[in-house]
Amino acid sequence: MVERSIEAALVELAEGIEWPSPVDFASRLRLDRPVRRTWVPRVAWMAGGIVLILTLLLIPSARQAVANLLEVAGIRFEFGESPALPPPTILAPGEQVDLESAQRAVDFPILIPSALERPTAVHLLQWELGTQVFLAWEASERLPEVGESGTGLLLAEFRADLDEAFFGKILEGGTTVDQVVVDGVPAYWLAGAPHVFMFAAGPSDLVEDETRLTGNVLIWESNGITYRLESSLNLDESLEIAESLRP
Amino acid sequence: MNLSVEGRPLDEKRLVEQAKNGDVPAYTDLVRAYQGIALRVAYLVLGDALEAEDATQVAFMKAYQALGRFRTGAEFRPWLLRIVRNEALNRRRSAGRRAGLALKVASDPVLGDAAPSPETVVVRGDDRRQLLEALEQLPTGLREVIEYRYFLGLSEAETARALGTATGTVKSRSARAIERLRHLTKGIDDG
Repeated sequence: MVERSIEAALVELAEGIEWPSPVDFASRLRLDRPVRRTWVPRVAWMAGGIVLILTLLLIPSARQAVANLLEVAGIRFEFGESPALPPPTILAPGEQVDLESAQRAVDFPILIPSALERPTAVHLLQWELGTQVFLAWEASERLPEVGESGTGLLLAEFRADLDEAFFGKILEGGTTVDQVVVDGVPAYWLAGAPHVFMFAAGPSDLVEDETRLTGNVLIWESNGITYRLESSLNLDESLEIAESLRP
Repeated sequence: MNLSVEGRPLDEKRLVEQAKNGDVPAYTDLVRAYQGIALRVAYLVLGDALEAEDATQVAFMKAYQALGRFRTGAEFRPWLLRIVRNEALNRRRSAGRRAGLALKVASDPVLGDAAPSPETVVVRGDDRRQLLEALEQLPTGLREVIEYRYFLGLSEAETARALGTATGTVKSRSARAIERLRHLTKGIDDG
């Protein structure tokens, strides 16, 4: 079978597939609300909400429901008291490499926001749980400095199915978590009070992340890759950058 | 190659702009234009008609919610299909492995003027079955590119956007997949 005939056979095969019967979704949809921003129902918890969730977490069935609600693949949010935070820094952990080397080291396409210039620095963090890519942009007029870090924006990209590992975030009262949408997939927007990012190698084996920050975080998962965008930008600005990611 | 499950509306850009401004009939027109291909995208992921129907319906709602962030000037169809695929993938995670595609019973269309002889039908049916089995053996990344290009009729660029990957990746995966299929189906047409 030559290539042409494989292609022709595939085209013909499409006609022979038992596809589902057509469905008239257009007449089924009930869309009576005007389109506004990307908001799906707000899932924001201020301090009071966090207390409620902590209470719910004591009930096993509710615990699972809450965990599902808050889960992005590979990330788990935990509510509680975070340790006293040192002065804010925003550091890309791992080894500094060039973009091409970073791309060779991971099995997914590294996406770059087309809304920004090329990143100022690329870091690769390789450890037993997998490889993370960090793209960092120096603070500028467009990307105000986070704390006193000199960094304006940090974008982390990593494959989320890191065995049984999970990533956790400790949120203090005052941090808000909103559910938003990036390119049609659910995303979470963490803003407000400081939060600590933690890695965990297992249920009782927490490793504190080298990155500590007080910036705002937009976090989402697409095609098995988790993206974490951290900066001092507001939600709209962060979404604009998130949705401009291109290979 | 023109395999589109349905035609692109002539005034797609205008409809998208209107829909972004909350014009429900405009969005409904877009849904009508792409509902067939959207259902197939979900079905390719899930392999179950009812599941695919649910996923597609939810995806149309989510796309509507997300329209405010659709970049003006971008292509709507791959953006929409990416949302459908994501919704289907989310459902598959809980449902486990997808069922394979199946052939219609006595599916062979009459090609050309003359009806094929019964022997031709049998031979072609076997070839199809063999090709479909070969396709199912490919890794997901290669199989999806073939499905989007040949079953859904998307261009390389659209396939790339709908799968969230680079056009170059689609090109290379497509070439590798064709090569693998050629190897796996050796002899279909040769004999």
